[in-house]
Amino acid sequence: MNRSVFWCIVRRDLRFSGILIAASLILGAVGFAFGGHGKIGSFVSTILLITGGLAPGIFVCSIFIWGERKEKSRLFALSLPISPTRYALAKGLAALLAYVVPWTVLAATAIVGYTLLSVPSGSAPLFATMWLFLLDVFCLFLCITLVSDSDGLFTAGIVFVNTSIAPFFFVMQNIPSIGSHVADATASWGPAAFTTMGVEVVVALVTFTFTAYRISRMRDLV
Amino acid sequence: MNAPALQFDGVEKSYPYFKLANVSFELATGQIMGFIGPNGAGKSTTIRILMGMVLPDRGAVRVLGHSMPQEQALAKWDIGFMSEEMRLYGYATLGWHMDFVAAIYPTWDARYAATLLKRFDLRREQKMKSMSHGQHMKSILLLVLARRPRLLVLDEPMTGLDPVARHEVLSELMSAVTDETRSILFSSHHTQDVEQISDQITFIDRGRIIESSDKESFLDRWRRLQLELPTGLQLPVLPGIVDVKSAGGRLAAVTTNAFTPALASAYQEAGACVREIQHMSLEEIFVAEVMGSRKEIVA
Repeated sequence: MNRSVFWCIVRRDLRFSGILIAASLILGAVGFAFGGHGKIGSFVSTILLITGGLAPGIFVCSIFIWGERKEKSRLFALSLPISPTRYALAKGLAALLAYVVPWTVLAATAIVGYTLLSVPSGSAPLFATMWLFLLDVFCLFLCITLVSDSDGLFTAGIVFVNTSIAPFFFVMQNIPSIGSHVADATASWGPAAFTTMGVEVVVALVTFTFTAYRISRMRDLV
Repeated sequence: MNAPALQFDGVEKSYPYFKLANVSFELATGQIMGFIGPNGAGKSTTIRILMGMVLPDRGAVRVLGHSMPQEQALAKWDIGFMSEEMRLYGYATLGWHMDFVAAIYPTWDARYAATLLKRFDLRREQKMKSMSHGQHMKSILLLVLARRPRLLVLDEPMTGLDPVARHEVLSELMSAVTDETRSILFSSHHTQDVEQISDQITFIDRGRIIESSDKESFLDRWRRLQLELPTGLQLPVLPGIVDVKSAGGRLAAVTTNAFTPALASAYQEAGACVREIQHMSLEEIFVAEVMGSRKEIVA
């Protein structure tokens, strides 16, 4: 019985996230379309891809997790036959799916483009590290909205989301094995790219584990 | 005797500036309990512990035979919870909420829901964010009642409602309690609402249960005696006197929580003239209980 309420909550959030998922996919698709059209095209493409790859996920967390808590609709959800822990897990899973599905589709589109459509793949390491970084940023923000009640921490999360990408992009572009091959026809996967991606995967896993641990230890959800 | 619908036994919960201390009471099946306390007394904290949303530091809570919060997912199938603070999803319509709740609860009564929709003058297609507070509360009550729960837990459901909405909500609650297997815990700081429908009354103040008893017993035991005193008469110290107020030395109002005719006789024998024995409203009893309890704590 409990299981059905869990999935009702997941389905509900996914249904209302539909427009954000669509926005993510559309922004990503338009971003890909602009790629390879000169410097301005690449700039617009990067902006659209980063926006499509992160903003909808941030909106999902802000509206369906943080917003519900602030608007007290969490009281309604917790009156349903589900424990606070499973409720928090359902919210986390729904947000994760709403983010990861378009994120994966866009990543797969990029892989198809690089491998099957003869798109110059010199930018692939930069794209891959950036794409995983977006996943990390989302995971951190999801963690904050799920386990914290603090307005200050939420605001800090928003600030981090908005200010972290440009420095990361700058650093990656200035790593010679990644940044200096962006315009090449073929990708050169060096240790720096693999190390960065490895660290990013570890950060995502640690954040997930920490979030799940904190949810299981939460005493008061309202 | 019926098994209790809910039991609190020595429940404690501490916050930096508030403590719920040794809360113990029970609500029998089929009974309606008015849970009365001033703002900040601990009503909502108690109710959130009951619902498993807040974990107590100490003590035991059982609801409909389930141990809380461990078995809350099971218990909540039969609990309808409504709170003044609760909000439905603003971006969804009432109809969506009805379908959502109906999909979860096999006990959902669609015909009753349609009746309530008409009675409360609500519209399925209206988004929650466009509803007034009164409409929002009535929508929540609709969702709660139409699932036919065995236990209704209502946390300040009347707060912020206009007189018409209060009447509509109270009328619906009163018709809902004709089912003798249904129990209700009704928290409020408005005693008039509670007085109309409750069988039992529990007073809470500053995180402590002051008294829990059946309503008739409260109303029977509490009286105010208006006395006229001869000059220089000292009133005798009698058991059950909660408060004595004198006005100008010749008149006194004595409040008791243990009235018997013998009490009036004792004052008369002491030389006082009992001019009137007044019944007290639940609100007056509530205020006297709270003030008496606070004096005891200070002393």
